[in-house]
Amino acid sequence: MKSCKEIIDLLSEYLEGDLPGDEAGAFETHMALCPPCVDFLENLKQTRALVRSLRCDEVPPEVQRQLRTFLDRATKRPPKRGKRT
Amino acid sequence: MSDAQEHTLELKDLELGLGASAAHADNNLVREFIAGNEAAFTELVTKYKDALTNYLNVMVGDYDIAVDLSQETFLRVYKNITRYSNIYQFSTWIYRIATNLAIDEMRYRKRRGQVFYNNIWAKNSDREEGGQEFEISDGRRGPGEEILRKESSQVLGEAIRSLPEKYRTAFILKEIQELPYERIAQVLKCSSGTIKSRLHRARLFLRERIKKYWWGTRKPSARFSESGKGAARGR
Repeated sequence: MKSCKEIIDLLSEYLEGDLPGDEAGAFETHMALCPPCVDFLENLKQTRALVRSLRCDEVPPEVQRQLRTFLDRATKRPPKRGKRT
Repeated sequence: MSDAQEHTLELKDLELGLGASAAHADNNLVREFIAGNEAAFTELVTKYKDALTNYLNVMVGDYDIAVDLSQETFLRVYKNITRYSNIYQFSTWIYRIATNLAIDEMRYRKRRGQVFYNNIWAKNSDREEGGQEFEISDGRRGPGEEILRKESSQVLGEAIRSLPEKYRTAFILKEIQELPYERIAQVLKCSSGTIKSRLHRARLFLRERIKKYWWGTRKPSARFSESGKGAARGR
């Protein structure tokens, strides 16, 4: 059976669903027999859940206006010179 | 754009297996903009402003500075659009510009002894009041739960920004911006394997930093209680 350290090294791949079949089997066998590793995994999942709460928000309308104004000013091209009359 | 460049772009899209049509749409907008259609630039800004500002906000931990950096990113895109090479997706290029700006800003602040922990959580905390955010499958209930959540969020924000630069950037691009490994590798100019390694270490480090908020009064296994220490060392 894999050691706890080996299991910890596989946690990210397990969470990403990237473990190949035999590795996943060994991982789950260990988990079935090791409550501390289960705790560790759950803890890592909860940390991820909290991090995901930071995912994309729309910028507030005032910030959108600010961005537009800034870019309008910063990218304003000088008017073409016309013929003087 | 030459046929060879077009072909390269298509291959990249297929290889990465993501948003080929989105990437194609971006490149069409870039072409239109270069041809003089200013509205195409506005469309690119509209498309990326939310994701980019959010990314910069988590990176630097100050919303006002994030907005400034977002503006600067778009300005650089505007000024340097002809230097964009479509062997990468447009979004890869814009994230690279934003990442470099954020890193420069953080280094500048670090030199001046300033720390970014201002108001990154303000927006989420406001929403948390309405019960929309931080729904964690915790199972614990009690009068101190809200306080605990806010506190854990604060600690998490600080923990993210205390990660070494290379781990922090990879972590935010993956876990918050949801970019695939291949794209992160392009943004940060390293291999996917390196990104996976950095991400794993960052996760262990963060878990270690905030574990007490999950365990509460439950004592963690002694075997693992120190396992996250030094997790952010290495490549």
